[in-house]
Amino acid sequence: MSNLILLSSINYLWYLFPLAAVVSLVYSASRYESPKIILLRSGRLFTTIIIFMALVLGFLFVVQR
Amino acid sequence: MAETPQIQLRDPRVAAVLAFLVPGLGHFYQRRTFKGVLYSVCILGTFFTGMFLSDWTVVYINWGKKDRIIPQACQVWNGLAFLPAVIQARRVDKIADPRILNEPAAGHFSGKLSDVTSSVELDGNIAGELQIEPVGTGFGRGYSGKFKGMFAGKHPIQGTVDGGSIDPKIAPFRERRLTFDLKGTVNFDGQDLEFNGLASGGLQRSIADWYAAPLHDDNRINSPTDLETANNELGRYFELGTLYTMIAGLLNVLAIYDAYEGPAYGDGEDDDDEESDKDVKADKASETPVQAK
Repeated sequence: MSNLILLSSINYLWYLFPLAAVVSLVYSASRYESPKIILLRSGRLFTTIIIFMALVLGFLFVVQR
Repeated sequence: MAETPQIQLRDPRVAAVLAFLVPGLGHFYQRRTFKGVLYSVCILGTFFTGMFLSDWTVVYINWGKKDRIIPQACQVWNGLAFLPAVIQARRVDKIADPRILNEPAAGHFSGKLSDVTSSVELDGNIAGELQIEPVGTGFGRGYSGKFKGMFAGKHPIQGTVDGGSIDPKIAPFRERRLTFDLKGTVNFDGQDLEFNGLASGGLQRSIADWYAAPLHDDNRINSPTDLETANNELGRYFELGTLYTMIAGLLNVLAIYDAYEGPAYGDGEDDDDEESDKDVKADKASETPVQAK
């Protein structure tokens, strides 16, 4: 049942991807001036955020079983 | 903080104010086009995505209600996109009793007509122009007016309107719900038939009356309240919209700071990690001989 609840909320998780991308872009833009570095840094930050969130999700998935 | 001699910030205070009013505008003023486009697309995009997801219901002010203070404290940094919420809250405050029609209203109405008395069965959709104005005083306050439109999409219908309660003028929904008695004629195959029915539906609100309007959460006005209706219909999208609009506001704080002070790590021509990596290597290289001794 709890797995079903988790699965039913998966679609909401997709909304976090654009949010993570926007946060990465704006945060990096506020640190640097060069467009190239901003894009490079935001890509790196986006990846970090997604990996971190995936780890948290994985941990919660294991814990709630 | 690193100094940023290469970046022309022009007047940083003006840039910061412009950045507050419209995300990215301060950077356009400073001719930092790339950042201006990035900030405006990202921040306004996030704000309006949140508004869209929540059916435009999550940005509002209810004076005296403290439950929305944290979202509002974040949303306010969206500047002009949030400012109408202040105006709408003030407009709502001036209306003494929002349950009744306080001033004439007109617009497109669409809804259902249930017939009460007529020679033919009238049960279907109606759509057309509705004009109403307040009538009566005290306990008998209501509204009257006229309606002209189509029944079931093909039969011309018109009549007089007599109603009581109506949704408040200012609320974050595209339609103003109302129910009224409609008495008049409907044309079937060139023949006018009289009817006396009950119509219920929505009168279109203008954007000035729904954008950033407060959600009424007083059950003396509406039951269920507008807040309950929004939560019931939107579910988690209400929270998702709130989150998006809050994050948009917080991100604009970074943009305002950037417009005022420049980028936090300087002009950004050098990637600081690579530099720091080089520094670390240089330090280790200089330390090694010392340790060897």
